[in-house]
Amino acid sequence: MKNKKLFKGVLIICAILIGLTGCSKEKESAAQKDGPKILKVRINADIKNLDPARRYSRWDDVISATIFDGLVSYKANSYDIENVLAEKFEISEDGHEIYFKLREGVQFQKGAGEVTAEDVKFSYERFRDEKTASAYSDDWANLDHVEVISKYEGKIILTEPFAPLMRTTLPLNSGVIVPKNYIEKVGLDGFTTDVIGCGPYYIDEWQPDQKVVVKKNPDYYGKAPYWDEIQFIVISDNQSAEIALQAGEVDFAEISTNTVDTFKDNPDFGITSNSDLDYRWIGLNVENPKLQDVNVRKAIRAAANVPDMITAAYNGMVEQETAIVAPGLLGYWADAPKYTQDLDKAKEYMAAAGIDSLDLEIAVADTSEYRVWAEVLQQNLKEIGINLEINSMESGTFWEIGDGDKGKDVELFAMAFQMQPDPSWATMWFTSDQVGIWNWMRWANPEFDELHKQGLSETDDQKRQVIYEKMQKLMDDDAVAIWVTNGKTYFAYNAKKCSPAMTPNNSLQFRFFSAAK
Amino acid sequence: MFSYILKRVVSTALVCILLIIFLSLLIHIVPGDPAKTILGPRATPELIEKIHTEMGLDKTPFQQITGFFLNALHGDLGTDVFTGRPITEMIMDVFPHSLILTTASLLLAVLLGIPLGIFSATHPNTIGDRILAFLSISFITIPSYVVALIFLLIFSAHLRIFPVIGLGSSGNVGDYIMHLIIPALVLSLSWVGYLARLVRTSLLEVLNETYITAERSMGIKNRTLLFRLALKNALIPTVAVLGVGLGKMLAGTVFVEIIFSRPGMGTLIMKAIQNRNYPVVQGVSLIIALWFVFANLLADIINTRLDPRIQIGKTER
Repeated sequence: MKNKKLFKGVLIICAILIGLTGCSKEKESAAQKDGPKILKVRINADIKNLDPARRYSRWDDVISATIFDGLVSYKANSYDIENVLAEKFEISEDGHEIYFKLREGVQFQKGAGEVTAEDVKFSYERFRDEKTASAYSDDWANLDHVEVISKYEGKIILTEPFAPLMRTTLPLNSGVIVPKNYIEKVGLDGFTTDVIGCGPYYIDEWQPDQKVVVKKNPDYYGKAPYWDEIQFIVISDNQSAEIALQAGEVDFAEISTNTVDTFKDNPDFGITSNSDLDYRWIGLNVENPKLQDVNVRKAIRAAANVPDMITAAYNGMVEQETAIVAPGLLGYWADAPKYTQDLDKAKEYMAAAGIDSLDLEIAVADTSEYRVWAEVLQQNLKEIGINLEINSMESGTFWEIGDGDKGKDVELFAMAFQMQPDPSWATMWFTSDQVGIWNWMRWANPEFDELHKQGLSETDDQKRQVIYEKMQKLMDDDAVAIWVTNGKTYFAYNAKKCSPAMTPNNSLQFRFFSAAK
Repeated sequence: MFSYILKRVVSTALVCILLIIFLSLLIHIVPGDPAKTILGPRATPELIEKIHTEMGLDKTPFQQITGFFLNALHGDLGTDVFTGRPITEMIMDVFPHSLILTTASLLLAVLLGIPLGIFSATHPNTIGDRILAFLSISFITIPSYVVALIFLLIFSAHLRIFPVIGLGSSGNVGDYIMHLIIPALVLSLSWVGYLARLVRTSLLEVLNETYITAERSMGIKNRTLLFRLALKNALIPTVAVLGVGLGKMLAGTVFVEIIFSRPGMGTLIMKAIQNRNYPVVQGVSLIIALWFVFANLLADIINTRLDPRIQIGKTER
């Protein structure tokens, strides 16, 4: 009898609980039909700091791009630039000055005042201010100062022309305008996650490790975005995100390459993907005695089977990278050699180096991606008499192995760098002054250094194209790296609800996300 | 009792001091830099230095330890350099969710594990006992993340009975409970198996004691013997284990938290370790240590209630 009562009790509780969620789901769907248009997006990690000068992660970038506006910005799905806050925007012939005139009457969110030239001056000069300690101070490397001409007019004065300024600094988060008076009032500590901009969305709520909610700015001066509210929901695990997408708990999510086909086969979902800008490679330390001979490095490159690495690590869902600058960008070297495995050639190089066997070590951060590369390379090199030992280490430990003189002991390593859509962000880490810092190949080439300087100050795109192609050729001649892939990020979305927007290399543009097409 | 609690407080303080000394020394031994781990090539030498200063890594281990404790005594565990949030606030944001998840899991484990253990002990070596033994061992050995993914696929993606991720809408208790059920069930499964085995063994042991045989010979009903006498004694080791479990689970929920996207102490400390965010690691470790000691103290007190022969703070003579 008692058992029966208990059983009934459990059933009643279950019914109540299921009823509760049933009601809340009904309410939710009713609200979606009549109420605000809400887009739910998976983000892989929580935000850390939305202050444009002190942002840390990709998601800081993505979310703050919905809150802030700059003088100029990229158009939807493009790297073409259009005026946003700037009504007029003119670069002087010598490239030293940029004149701007702001739209009048543009207001910061939450009553933080009107956007003026003083705010522009403050926003840009703070990148070079030691107190801000910005990780992005290089974005304004050649900034001398910003001259305020009137309430709405000013000039950006540079010490010398800086080519990445128009391609990456101004259209991206380092070029957005923040409210001077507000920041001076609340201090840097008050401007981290509760930020104020003048963009199409304002930050409504941040529940740490759960979600960030942005809502449509009712006073936005530009074209109003389609979505009234965007909820950025933190889901770090790919498989959980994919289940959440299938269960309708998120509308847009990055997915792993393994599940692309599952979503492709389902008409309810759309898939979008572009090549990333990142570059991933296996570096060879030219200062290490075992790798000083270019023939040894060429032998390793000829023996490496990159297509096999791509098949094993990414199910063949990404393209092989041929040089450091990604396709579609200025500086992309279209004629770069695409190396495939050639064991005969590799053995010839070994013979030229006068060795028939060698013990080497590859250092990799402990992720399945890099371990798979290393395992494939281990098999490849065995065929030319090289015994490759894999040293897999925790990422925090890995990031220090190239520091200072201890970097001389590194032999091979697997690495990935992120970058912005200007070739200078790719080449800057391989100059001589980066040896012992981020140039773990310890490759120092004076011609490369000089070309890097020229590339930064040259504003003619055609000339820059020649410069960066030449730099990549120099790297190729010395066989300092085996380029693997730029990577490719796949996103799946509820095709009946939304239509995404992103730059040609996967920077998400949520302000341009629209209804299903 | 009072002197026992006092002794526990002193030993807890010692444990915490040793833990923080250990962590502070570890910072100087373990390779990895917080700025580089988070920013990669964007970490300039100036920024690295600034972050080190803000984290107090430029100080000697002695200064770090004394500074940490002096501030901790005022309830200040420091500030997270990256978000600018007080670490106490970060912990208080997630601690209740971990506590609720842990308690709910243990409650489920007790509700399911103890009856199963009793059944096995009262039906030893029957088919039912063997099936339960098989299931219990399976529950103990299957990793919780595998169970989590399977449950997600079944209950959330296909049946759509339970939600997949997060904690639910803030302020909606029903929604919160619905988001809790599957994670708590997943987390409880290995404990269900463990408790079932433990209760079976200790109950069988008690049932074979001479005083039980004597009571039985006096004609006391089996049911009364089982629930009034035997079970009470058989549960003593179970309570002690639950005390350890309550402490251990708080930081051991990391896989479940990641898969169900729930904020919690496990995820907080794991990310802090990955990012070499040492002040957060220290703060969270201190709270977990304190919780561990509290859970064990609670288990000891419950045990004295179950068996008055156990006298807290006194050794057997």
